[in-house]
Amino acid sequence: MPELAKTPLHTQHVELGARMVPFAGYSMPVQYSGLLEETKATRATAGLFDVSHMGQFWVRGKAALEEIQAITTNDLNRIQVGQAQYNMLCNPIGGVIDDIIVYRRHPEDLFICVNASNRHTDFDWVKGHLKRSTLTDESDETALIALQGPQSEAVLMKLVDPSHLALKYYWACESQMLSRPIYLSRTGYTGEDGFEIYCRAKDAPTIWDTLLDKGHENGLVPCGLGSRDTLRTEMGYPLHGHELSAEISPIEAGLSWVVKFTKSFVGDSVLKSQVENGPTRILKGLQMEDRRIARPGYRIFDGNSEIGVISSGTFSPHRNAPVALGFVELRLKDAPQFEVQIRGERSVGRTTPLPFVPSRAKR
Amino acid sequence: MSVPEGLHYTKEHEWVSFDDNIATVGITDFAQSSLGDITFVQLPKEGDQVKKDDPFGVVESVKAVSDLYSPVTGRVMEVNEPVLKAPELLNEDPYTDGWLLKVETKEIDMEGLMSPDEYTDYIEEQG
Repeated sequence: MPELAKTPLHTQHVELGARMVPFAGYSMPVQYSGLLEETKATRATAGLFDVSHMGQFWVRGKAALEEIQAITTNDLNRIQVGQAQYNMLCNPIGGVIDDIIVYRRHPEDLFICVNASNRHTDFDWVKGHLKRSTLTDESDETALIALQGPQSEAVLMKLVDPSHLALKYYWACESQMLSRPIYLSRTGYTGEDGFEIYCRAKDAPTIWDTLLDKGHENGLVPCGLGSRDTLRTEMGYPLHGHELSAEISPIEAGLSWVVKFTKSFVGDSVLKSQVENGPTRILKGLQMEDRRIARPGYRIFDGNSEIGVISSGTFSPHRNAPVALGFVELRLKDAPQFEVQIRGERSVGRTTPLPFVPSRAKR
Repeated sequence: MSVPEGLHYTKEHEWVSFDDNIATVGITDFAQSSLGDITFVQLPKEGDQVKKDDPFGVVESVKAVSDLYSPVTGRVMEVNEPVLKAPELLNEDPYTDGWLLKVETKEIDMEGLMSPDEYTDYIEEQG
C-alpha cells in the first residue's frame, strides 16, 4: 500500500486523540470524542471538520465559464460572481464523474472544489475539455476547514470582519482570519448553518487551533469523518461512490434540480431521456423499524423480489433509529415500505421523505 | 485501556469470569472502544446452547458489525436484558453493567484464554 498522505492538520488530529483511518489516500480523523456525540454537537452547537483532503482547481481565462458550462450539468449563468453552485461532471452516458462545487470567485476565473478520491480523474477529464482556458490543481497548497452548526456565526464573529458574515447560503467572499487570507464560503455538508473556510495549507494549523480555542465557549468540538457521514446521510446528501458514480446518473439519485437543459453539456441527451421516460431506479430514504443498520450493498426486497440495494446507512441520533439511502426500481417509488436483508434476516424499512432532518442552512 | 484483574480474555476481545460452573461473558473495553457507539446487540435466548469459539451474537456500531465468539461451551442461564434495550451500556461499562450472558458450563476449559497481562500485551500489538 502506498504511504498515506497527511493533511496540514495531521499533528492537530493526533494531539487531539483522534482515531485516524485511511480515506481517499489520506490519513484522516474518523472520530475524536465519539461519532454520535460529535453528530449531536454539530446540530446543537458547532463542529469543526478538517476536509483538507478535498481538491481545489482553478480554471482561468476569458473562456473559463463557457468551457466549464460544456461539461457540467447545472447552469453557471444562473449564479453571479461571488456565488457558489452545486454541480456535476457527467460522462457521455450521464453517469457522474464527480459532484463538485463551482465558485464564480473572479469575474472570469472559476474555483472548483472536488472530492479527494476523484481529484486526479477530474483533473484529467476537465483538462481534456479545455481549449482556451488553463487548469491548475492547487489542492496541496490549500486547506479546507468546515465550521458547521448553529453557533458557527457566533464563533466567526470573533475572528473575521463581521460584515462578511452577511453572506447568504452558497455565497462566498475573500476574507481574512488572524491576518491570513481566507476564502469564506457559506456552504456545508451537514444541513446546518455553517461555513467552509479555504486557507493556505501553511496557515491551517493556526486557524484550526484558534477556531477551537475561541469556539470552545460556544460548544465547538472537533468532528471526524464518521460524524460527517452521519450528518450528510441524515440530510440525504449524496456521497460519490455511494449515491453517485460513473454508472449512476443525477436523475436516478434524485438530483434533477442540478441538471439544467437550458444549455448543452456532456451527457445531456441521456439525462434528458431519463427525465422524459423515467430512470430505471430511484433513490429512496428508509427509516428502519429495528435497531440494525442497513449498510451499503445490503439487498432490498419487495416481498420475494429483490428490487434494489442500499447505498448508505447509519444510525440517526435525530430520529433515534437507523436510517438508510438506497436505490429501488422506479415502479416502486411510492411503496410505503421495503424489507432489507441484514445478515440473513429481513428488517423493515419505512420509506421516508428526505431529508431525515429538516435543513437549517441559512437561505 | 482498562483490563481488569480476575477476568480471562479471548483473541476476539471477549472476557469471561468463572464462579464455580457459571461463566459470565462480555466484551472488553478495547472492543467497545474500537467499535465506537454501539447501537445494536443481538444475543441468544435463555436455554440456548453456546459453543466455545463459535459465534453467539452480534454487536453493531455506527461504523461496523462484529460477531461475538463464545469463550465457553454451555447453556445460557441468563441474558442481560438491559443491554438489549440500551446497547450504549456496552460503551459505558463493558465489565459490570454491560455483561452479556451467564452460561452454565460442564467443565472450565482455559485453553486459548489469556490472563490480563497477556491480553494487555496482545492489544498493544494490535495497535
